[in-house]
Amino acid sequence: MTDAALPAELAPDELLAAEYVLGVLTADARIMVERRMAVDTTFAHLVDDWIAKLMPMEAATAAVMPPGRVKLRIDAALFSAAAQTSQRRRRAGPLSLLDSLAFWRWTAAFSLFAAVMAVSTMTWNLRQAPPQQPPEQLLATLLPQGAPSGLLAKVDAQTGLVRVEGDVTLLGETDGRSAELWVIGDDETPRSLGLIAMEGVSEVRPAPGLLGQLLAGAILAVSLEPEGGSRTGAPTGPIVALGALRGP
Amino acid sequence: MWRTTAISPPQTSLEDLLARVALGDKIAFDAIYERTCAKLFGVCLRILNDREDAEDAVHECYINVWRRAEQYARSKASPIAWMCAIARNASIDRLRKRRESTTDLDEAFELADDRPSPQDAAVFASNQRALMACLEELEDPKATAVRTAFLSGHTYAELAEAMGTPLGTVKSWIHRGLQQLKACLER
Repeated sequence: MTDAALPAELAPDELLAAEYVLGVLTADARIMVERRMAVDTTFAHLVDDWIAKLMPMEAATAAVMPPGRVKLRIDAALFSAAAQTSQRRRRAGPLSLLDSLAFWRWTAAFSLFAAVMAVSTMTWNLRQAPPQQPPEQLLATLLPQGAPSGLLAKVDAQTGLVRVEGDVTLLGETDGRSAELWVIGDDETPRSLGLIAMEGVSEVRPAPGLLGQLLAGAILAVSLEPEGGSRTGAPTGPIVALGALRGP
Repeated sequence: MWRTTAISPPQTSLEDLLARVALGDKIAFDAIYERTCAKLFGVCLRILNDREDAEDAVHECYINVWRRAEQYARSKASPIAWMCAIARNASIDRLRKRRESTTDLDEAFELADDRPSPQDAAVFASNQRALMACLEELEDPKATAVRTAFLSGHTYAELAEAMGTPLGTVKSWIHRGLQQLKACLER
């Protein structure tokens, strides 16, 4: 095809929408396009048209299963009580500015998570050192991201007894549900440690086979399950709190 | 490896599930995740070429799917196309924040020659066939420029450098490529 046979040039807005969807714009230009989409529905429709046109190019993309922790983090970010409060606020308001605020809030949540993970990794590395006096107690603070209060878990390294303290009812809709405590080790598979009370102090004695999971660096999580606990052996309800075990 | 259990019956369409997510239905959200996470993680991984970054991008992507599900009703795109766009945006924004890109452009060039498997093609249905036919009609270098831009998520300047071609030339290839694609798709 020669240039003379080319169809009419794309209008500037149409080209901008196409470039945005194609992914060739700089960071600044992308932000401008997103701001415009939030206030200009005609332009937002142009972007949507180009999504419909170009996205089938993703058909060739190979599917890759993400690790299980990705969904745990998504649930913790979306369905913990603190996340839900701020979400309701966001849903009610206009999109663009709140969106970017939200973006930074999520980024902060990632950093917090990364920091927790870094601490756990350090603890883990320390554990690789020649065996010394084993710590008597491991601690985990199970925090819903951004919430002022969470749960405190203590693991007695000798007996494996887990003591959890705090108020689960502040963290989610607990009516007609049971709170279940999970340990997530290196293989990323949550294993149930047992049910805990909604308020006050609970003591859980894990099955002997699980004592090896309760090491520094392991993640403890609490999910809300049908009464009596998850029937599948894996968390089925929202994760309302999670945190990493670390030495005293 | 642990995964969430699929709770919705498989015949529920992604459209219906997204409508339920817009009403705050977490079970529908779990079912959407179950069905689409591998595809969307694949999209993030190809653009970012780094597992950790891709995990962050796919995380952000599903947060946005949850929050923007009500906007899907107004979209002309298929649910999977709409979700791919969200995954691409989360990935491209991350790519722009990196000081030095670690995406291997040679890899993107190789991917640019890929043809979809019949199975994946079915997900995107007839739109996909139409687009592939129109991309076939585009001659090189326009077709390669458009495909490579889409698959790598790189800016014009990065593409020009990788292709060893002046910036203006790359822009003109892509502008004319998009123009022809639109005409072909709307024929």
